[in-house]
Amino acid sequence: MNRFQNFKNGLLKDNPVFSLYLGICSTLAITTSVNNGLGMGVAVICVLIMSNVIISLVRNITPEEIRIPVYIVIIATLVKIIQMLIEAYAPALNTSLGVFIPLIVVNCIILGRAEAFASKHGVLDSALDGLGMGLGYTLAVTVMSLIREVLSTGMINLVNPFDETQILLNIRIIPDDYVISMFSSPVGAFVTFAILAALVSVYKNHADQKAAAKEVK
Amino acid sequence: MGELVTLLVTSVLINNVILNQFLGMCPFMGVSKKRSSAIGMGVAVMFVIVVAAIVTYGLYYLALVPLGLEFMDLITFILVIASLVQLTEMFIKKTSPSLYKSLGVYLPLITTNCVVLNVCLVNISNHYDFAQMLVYSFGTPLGFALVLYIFSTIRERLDLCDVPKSFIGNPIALIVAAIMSMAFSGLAGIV
Amino acid sequence: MNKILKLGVFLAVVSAIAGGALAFANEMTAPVIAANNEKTEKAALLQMYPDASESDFEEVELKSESTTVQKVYKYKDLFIFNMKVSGYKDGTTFLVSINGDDKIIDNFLAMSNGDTKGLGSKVLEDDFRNSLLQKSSEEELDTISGATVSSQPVVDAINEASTYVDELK
Repeated sequence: MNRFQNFKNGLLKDNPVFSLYLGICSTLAITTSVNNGLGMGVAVICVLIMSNVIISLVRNITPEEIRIPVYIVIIATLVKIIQMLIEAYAPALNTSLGVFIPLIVVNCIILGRAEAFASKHGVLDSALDGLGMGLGYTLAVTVMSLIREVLSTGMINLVNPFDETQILLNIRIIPDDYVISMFSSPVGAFVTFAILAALVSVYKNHADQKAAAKEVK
Repeated sequence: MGELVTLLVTSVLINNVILNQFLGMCPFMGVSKKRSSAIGMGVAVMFVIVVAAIVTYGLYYLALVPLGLEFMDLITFILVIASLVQLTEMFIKKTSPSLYKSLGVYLPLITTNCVVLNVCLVNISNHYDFAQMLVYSFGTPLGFALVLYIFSTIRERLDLCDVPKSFIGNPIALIVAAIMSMAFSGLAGIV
Repeated sequence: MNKILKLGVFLAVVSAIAGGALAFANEMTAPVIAANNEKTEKAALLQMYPDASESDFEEVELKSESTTVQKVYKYKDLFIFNMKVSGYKDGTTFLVSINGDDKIIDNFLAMSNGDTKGLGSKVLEDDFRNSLLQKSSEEELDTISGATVSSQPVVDAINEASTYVDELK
């Protein structure tokens, strides 16, 4: 498949979260605020690109039987390094993302793409695939946290992760009396996710129908 | 003793790993379509978690801490989990081929099951002693299996209902999960 | 047998390289993390006692083994314990200052709590704090009903801290 087509697919049609249903655990848990969503998204992009590149580089010398443990060790090392960097340079993000930073190791997206793509393609293709999937994940997580944060607190509050005292954006969209605090709880997470997943499903059905109609012609 | 009972109730129901902590969602969505596979998965996960928790707990305090290698925790834990899942897979394949077939690709996926790694990490970060660790490591997958089973019974019924086209499959399952989460959150505060 | 050996060696080599990379990253980040923690702690101490200056707090060493006590400071005749206890998810980190003579709780500041919002996080609220102030740290303290999993470890830790006051004096 054309590498840019693959990159584009990762964003919407094959969106890892709403289409392939990978990495759902973290999506539901950390999307309470846009700050968290963006922070996690960037961390995942970094790990995804680096792991795709490294695994693609060693794909020819790794024995077939132990490829999964080897991939896991590589991913775990990258995640641990990212965790240490976040703890050192963005401690507020570390507290709000909590245990979900080390859990990036078992984020199905990363191992899934390593197994399905990086182990079979060259370095540049794998890097682009990582970027596409990572952006798709970040897009999904940001949209979801935007909806949840606006509905549950009425405001969008963006803070510089490297210096929590610096506020980048702070606008109120819904007056305080009308907020639905349910959206900051697990219930709201499931409901928001379900509706967004259904919307993506509608888009996919529509796109498939169009493609089928084109073929008939 | 009372403290341990509280810990058990908390980890099974109140702080339920799926509905409250959002962990284990992949098997939750993937294996919950039939009751039999839900039970099989629940038991397999419980076995892996209890054994993995004990092994990683021992490794952390007997090897990593004395050597000052705490930062190797993530790699060590995940390697232990991966090998354990591999062993469990071989065991199930030999003893019950039908269960092996019905679990399919989800058995090796227990390695990437967030619940397993989370339990191992929490045992350390919460400074649990051995008894607390055992209770927590047993209660958490019990809560997981419980919710998985209930969910599979609902999904079996849901397959026979008239669901709007765009909600078929995972979206409607998530709405069900939302309602279940609401129900379980009513239990908060009893302890 | 030879095959398994080869596989094992490969995995070992990969793990060794990984371990080396991690050790390097640890060297770089550990000092920064330690400095951050100290900064937060100093800020919390000053929040507890705004009239004091940083140099008034003297760090003392606790000889007994404790899984909850992270640091102890001496300030005037008070001993300030920095303690971390478990809870639902991440538990609570707090400062409690106990008078060295009569073991009365002088001040309490919960620094962080990652537990369920509205329940476990009640340990962060003023009601819980006010219920602790001026009580003896040796007696049984009140927990928050409906949130005992978060609050019980805190009061247990305060009782534990009171046992260390004698040896620190």
